[in-house]
Amino acid sequence: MNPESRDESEKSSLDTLVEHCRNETELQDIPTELQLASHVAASPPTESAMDDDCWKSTAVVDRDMMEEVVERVNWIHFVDEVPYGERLLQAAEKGCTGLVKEILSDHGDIINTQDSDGYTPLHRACYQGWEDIVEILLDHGADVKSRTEDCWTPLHSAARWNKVGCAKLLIAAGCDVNALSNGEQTPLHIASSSQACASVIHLLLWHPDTDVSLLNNNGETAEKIAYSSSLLGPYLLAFNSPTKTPFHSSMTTSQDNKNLLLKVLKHKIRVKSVKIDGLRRVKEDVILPHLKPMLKANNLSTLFGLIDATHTNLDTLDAFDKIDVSIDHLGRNSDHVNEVSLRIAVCEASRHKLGMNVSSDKGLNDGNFNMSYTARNLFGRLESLRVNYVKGTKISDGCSVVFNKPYFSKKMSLFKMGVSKENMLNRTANYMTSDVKSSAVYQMQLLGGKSELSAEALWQQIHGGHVPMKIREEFGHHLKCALRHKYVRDTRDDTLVATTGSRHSVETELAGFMGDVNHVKVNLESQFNAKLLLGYSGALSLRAGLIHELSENRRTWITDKFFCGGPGSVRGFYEDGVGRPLGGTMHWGAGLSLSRNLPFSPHIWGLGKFMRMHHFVNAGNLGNNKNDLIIDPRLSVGSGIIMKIANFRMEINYAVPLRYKPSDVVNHGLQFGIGVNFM
Amino acid sequence: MLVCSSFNTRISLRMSILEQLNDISTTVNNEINSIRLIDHPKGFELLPSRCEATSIKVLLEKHGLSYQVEIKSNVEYISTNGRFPVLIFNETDIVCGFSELVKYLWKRGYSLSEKLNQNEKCDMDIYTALIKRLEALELFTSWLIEDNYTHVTLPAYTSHTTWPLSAILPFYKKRQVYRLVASQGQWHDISSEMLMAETKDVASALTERLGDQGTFFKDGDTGQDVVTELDCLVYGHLNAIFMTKLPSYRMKRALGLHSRLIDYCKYVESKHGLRAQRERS
Repeated sequence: MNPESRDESEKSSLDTLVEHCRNETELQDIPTELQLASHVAASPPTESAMDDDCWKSTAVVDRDMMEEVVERVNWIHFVDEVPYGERLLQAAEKGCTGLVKEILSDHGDIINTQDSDGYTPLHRACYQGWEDIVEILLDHGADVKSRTEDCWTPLHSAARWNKVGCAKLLIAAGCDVNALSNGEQTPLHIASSSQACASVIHLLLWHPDTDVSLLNNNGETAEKIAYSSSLLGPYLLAFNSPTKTPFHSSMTTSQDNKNLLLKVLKHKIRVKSVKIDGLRRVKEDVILPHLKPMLKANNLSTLFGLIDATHTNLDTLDAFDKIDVSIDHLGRNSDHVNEVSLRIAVCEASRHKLGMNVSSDKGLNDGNFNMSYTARNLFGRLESLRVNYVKGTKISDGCSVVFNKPYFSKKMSLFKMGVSKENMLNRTANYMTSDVKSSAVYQMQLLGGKSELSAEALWQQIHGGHVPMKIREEFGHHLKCALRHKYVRDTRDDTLVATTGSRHSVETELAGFMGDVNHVKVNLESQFNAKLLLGYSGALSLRAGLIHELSENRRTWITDKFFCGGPGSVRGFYEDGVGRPLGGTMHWGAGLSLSRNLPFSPHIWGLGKFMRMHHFVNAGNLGNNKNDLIIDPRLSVGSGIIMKIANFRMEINYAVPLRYKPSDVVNHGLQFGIGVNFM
Repeated sequence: MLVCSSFNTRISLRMSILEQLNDISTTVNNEINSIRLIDHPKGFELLPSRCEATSIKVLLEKHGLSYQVEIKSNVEYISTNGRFPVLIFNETDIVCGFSELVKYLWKRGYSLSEKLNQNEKCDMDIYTALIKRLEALELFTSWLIEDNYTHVTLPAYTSHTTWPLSAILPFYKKRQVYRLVASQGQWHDISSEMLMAETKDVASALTERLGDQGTFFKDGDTGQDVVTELDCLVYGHLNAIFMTKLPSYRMKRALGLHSRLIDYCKYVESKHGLRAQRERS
């Protein structure tokens, strides 16, 4: 359900909206006969024109609207004996603007003249939907409270015939939205009885003064009438997106209306069919798994949820420019269950896509600028080929070619294959690595988490300028073939600044086969978050890793080893500051952190609501055997501010390292970190 | 050709004298506590590195410095200037190649050529430059003569790598050697005949300098042989060239024609104890 375009045409406040309408009519000048003739041909009444481009949200309504277009008459010739009151009534009904103006300029006193049924010119203009005439009449002082024989106000008329524009003008002119007719029917009752009045219902429901609980003389509320006439659609539309009101945003719908919403959402429905339009290159079997869930909806609220989810899912496929989900038909079957047909209209995206973006994938204090070309949807099943050039802080430059093939079974898996070439600078140790890599990756959903299996062949050269001797001894070309599995399960409420939930990741790597490296590497990370007292939430992070070398003459190089320290792990040390320069084959780390929102009002300062303060204790160690891990664990405490900006978490901390070794590079004082994964 | 290159060397010599003058002010008096010599695994070193290694070992022995040999297959990449073997002094200073070593030792007061006068020092630099050309010829012999390349160099060079690196790396190295040799010898066209001619050139120059002396220089006062860095360098190269076996070894034959050089090697070995103790580790 996507009432965006409706929203755009209506999001201005009522006042400005009316103003807007006035301006429009002023601009049109007084139409001459010729101009009018062309006007008639060009556009039906404005309301249907507006609905035309938001057909998606009110598809039902539109079809009915089209049948009711009445042609405007340019001029009516009256014989002399016709009284001016009658002339005005007819001119107002036929939409003859010039004549109305002419009559009113000479005979302003007959503005509220009534015909035999008690209809005034305003009534007539309203049910025909001539907004310009309604305006002229209102300008000349037409009475918005005038009643017909049946006690209908002009708003009733407008409501009966779904003339939204006129209804808006009347409401703006101060008419009573809850006016009762003879049958104690409010305009909402009137509108609810007709299939064609969705737009007016929508408008009325959003008016804060509208009383949805009023009963007519049959003891029915408007909603009940709508229900019995299978016209829930506008009610749904009206409530589907609470922020998208046609009135000023500060006005909120009344409590009764909200209750109505809740009630409406619980109505039982059955999805009869889902239709998708606009598929050209994309094969249907790719889309169907995304649509099937919608058939299971049994009431409106689940349906809306599913529609939303489908919309998001289709969006992530990156195959469509535009996706509109709409309720195409709403009816009742023989068992008195509401039946819904859904229609999805898509517009396929271009096959070629050029992109530029900023990303971070190597952890901390790191940003990459990517330029890419993607050939999308190569064989109709969303296969894509992406050529990417990257320049960044750690990756000094690199390029890659990746082929993607998604599978849309239950597991939502993805197959990736590619080659890449990267030059990376390790800033802490000042050496460079040049990698040429080819890899094949298979991702899938497993046990509520994400599982990734990859095979990789890597040719790496370590080189550089002035580096410590121990690192220099690692220089040269290495070849590594590895089989890797990574499993991540994340149930946190927020991946960057979590307050509840947990994250677990297990990474296993088997390197060997051919190449210079032969080891098993395991790395575990866990984080538990919980809400505590006084607005504080606590986080406990644990991580540990181990490299077990499998053969003596093939060894593990520095690029595979574990490091510790830095704003993302043990704070209070420089990045990789523990165990320099060579790192270790085993490591552990633990962090305990308490965080809460800023104690002062965050609204004073715009960025305040993205900020939290935290206090932390970090510990960690690394080494090459078990004893190293126990002896001299590093420990630091501190506190600081966490900030969430876009997809990154930023930290500014004051950290005090309590236990460290002389060989460590400590950072006693302020420390800055930006990244994604923090301990 | 020899004259021309000597002239170039004279210019570069002046430069190096200036450099040395500058260096005097920054002379460091670090004691040498430990020396690690990082070399290729035995049997996998190639002719140029074997020559350099012998020279270095001989020089260190002559100074009475003890060293520890370490075996690493990636010496080539550890080196800062592309010359190997690599020496690590006191675990911190990295010194690559013979000429850097001479300079390093000289700064710390280890020198074999103190007794020489200025002219002789100039001569020494000229003949050191001559050996550089010999080095280029060694590279040529190992890498650019097809027989040697396929039967000796390629297996040795790729012994510690696996496919596909064993196919890629020699290709790059060979290209690099070609460029180096071509630029160093200022040869536009490299051929075996060129090699022979060049080798003979160098050999005759060395023979001429030696004359009937035991070593390259004599003490002016006593008339005794003085073993200098140049002797270490020349002995290292000649010894390694004579001891190495290669399928196509025209260079060895060309040098072997000058029996004076073989005699020289034998002489310095027996008389002055210049012998690289390869077995030591």
